[in-house]
Amino acid sequence: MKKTQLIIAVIVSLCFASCVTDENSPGLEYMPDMYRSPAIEAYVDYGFDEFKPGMTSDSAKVMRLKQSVRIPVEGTIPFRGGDQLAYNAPYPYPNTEAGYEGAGVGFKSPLPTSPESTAAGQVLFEKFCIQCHGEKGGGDGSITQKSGGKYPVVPSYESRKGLAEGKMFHTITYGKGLMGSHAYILNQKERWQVIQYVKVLMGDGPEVLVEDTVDEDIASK
Amino acid sequence: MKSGNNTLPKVQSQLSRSYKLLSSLAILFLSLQTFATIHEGGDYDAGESVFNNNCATCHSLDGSVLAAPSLKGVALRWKGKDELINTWIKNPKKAFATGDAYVVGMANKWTPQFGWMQNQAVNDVDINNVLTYVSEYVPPVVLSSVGEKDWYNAKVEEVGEDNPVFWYLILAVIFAIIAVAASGAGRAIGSSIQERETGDGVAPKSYGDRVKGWLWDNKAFASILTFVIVIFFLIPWGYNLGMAINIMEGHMPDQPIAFNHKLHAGKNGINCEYCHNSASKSKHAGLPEPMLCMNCHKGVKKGHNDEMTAEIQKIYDYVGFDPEAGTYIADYDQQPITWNKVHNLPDHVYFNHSQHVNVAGLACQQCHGPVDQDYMLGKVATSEEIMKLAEEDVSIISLEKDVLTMGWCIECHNKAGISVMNTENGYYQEIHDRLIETDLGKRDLKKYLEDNVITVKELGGWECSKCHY
Repeated sequence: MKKTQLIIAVIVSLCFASCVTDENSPGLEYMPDMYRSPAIEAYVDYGFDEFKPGMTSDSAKVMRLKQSVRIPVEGTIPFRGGDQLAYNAPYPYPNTEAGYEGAGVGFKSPLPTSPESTAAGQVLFEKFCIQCHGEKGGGDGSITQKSGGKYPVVPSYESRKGLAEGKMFHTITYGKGLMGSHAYILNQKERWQVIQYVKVLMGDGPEVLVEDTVDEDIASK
Repeated sequence: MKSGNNTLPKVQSQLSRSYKLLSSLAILFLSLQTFATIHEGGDYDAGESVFNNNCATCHSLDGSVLAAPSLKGVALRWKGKDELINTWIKNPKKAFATGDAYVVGMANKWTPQFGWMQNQAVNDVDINNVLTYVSEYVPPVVLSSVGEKDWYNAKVEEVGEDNPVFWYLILAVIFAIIAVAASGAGRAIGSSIQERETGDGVAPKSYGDRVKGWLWDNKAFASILTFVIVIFFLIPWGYNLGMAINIMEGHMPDQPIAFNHKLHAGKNGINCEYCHNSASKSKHAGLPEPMLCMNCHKGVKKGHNDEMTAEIQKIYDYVGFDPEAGTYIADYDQQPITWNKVHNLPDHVYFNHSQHVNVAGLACQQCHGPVDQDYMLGKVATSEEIMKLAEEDVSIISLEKDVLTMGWCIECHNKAGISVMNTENGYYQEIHDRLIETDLGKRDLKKYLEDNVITVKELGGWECSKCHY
């Protein structure tokens, strides 16, 4: 009888030990001071997580909003080292039809066209544009193709051949039609890089330039 | 009609004649209603192309408002105004100036929300084709494959109530209660019998005394049993418990929006970095703000089921968007989404997403596992999942150590090869130049190149100060 009880006790304790963990719990924590430090980092719920005594999930949420997902002060310009182009300098054209036309006439790329920046634009394009605009800019991105008709059709770049680069910049900055603003994903330099690659896809970009350099390389050998 | 009474052929033939007349009238009437449109006889396919390239970003064909009114039924609304609609498409303000009641009413209704339609650079043939396409539009038939539904599953059921351990536990508790109760009853009976027989009030032996006595009698067995329990059960249990402290493996907390990674990244093929766009720029991979969701969900307003539509509605609640009208609500108190951070590293470790994404060029799956295929929400994968993925995909490095431990980090730093050719920052060139300066360096370089793989470790990836500073 006693042996049975002992074995049962062992089994029970083992069962408790092997219980499935709750996905909502971060697991066992012991002396977590280095995990939840006073320095502010994005999305970290420093001291405000709901597992802390005296906190509920609601009060933790309110504190987190105050602390970590704050909207920057209006007019803030992010500083990104010495690259002037990468600043999001104030954009002079308003989000109106007149602004769109104005940007088309008056806003020119300060970024010289080069194979490097076009290649950088291609990398960015394949991250941020390809899902709607498609690999070759034909408007046949994976979302339009695979969402079962849920996402509307996207115009092809071919149909926009000769579009002014200022208008493209305006569109990326503010969005147009169903396209939303991508200003917070791409800084101004990156926007110009993407535009360089978009021009290649449209067929009026520096494709010739890329080919020329290749030819020169071959010629020099 | 055919089932009518056969004894009255005359009535029947009259009936059938009037029926024929009625139906032909109805067909005529219907055809007047639906086919009496403007701009008939254009080319459907050409119209589709023009529509997709010029109209589709703002106008829908299914009656929903995107960034302009839907074109469904446009032919009926503009009936008999062929010339005017041509003018409108080419120059809306010119058409407005004509003072046509319908045009003025429509412009006043929609332009405050969406602004004026742009002048479209199309000719009359294009317009004819587009309007033919719009009138005769047939929605595409979406073929759903067998596995299709799997993309929409709310949550992957991995281990739930079916776990047998749970039932064993219940059984064990029940048996334990029975055993204790039976032995308690036996003890009570025994003591009462003893009391009646002897008459003295000697208390029966307690449990503790009995166990002690039994153990004393079976010393060898008891010590072996204790040894086995300690070595094989208690120590591993304690070790595992201790090793799990502050390691957030398997942590996948509920999020304010039940975002479906399988559907977005897997089926729809959205690049991970589109939403986690600071992964290449910052220490953090970044969590999307609701306006980023709106880049697509301004158009995609309904999910594949009600549950999913309710989740999409949550985005609209954050930003104040009216899906029916297709516009943002003015002066709405917009709120950020308070995503729950999943994993947390202590402050004495430095991990940077951008270094691993940009320089190392690792796939997200290397650490986050089959997020795009299996997961509802994001997390760092378990080591089993990473090893399984590594078997299928050669670009994934197989890692055996427990994830989110230091052993895991340095295991990868020891295995991962560096592509020294594809770098622009000159770091590897600098290391190479310094190594060939001295004999010791040359010897090291030779050692590094022996196995044809230059690992992160060989270039200082195991230096403490790489991550701990």
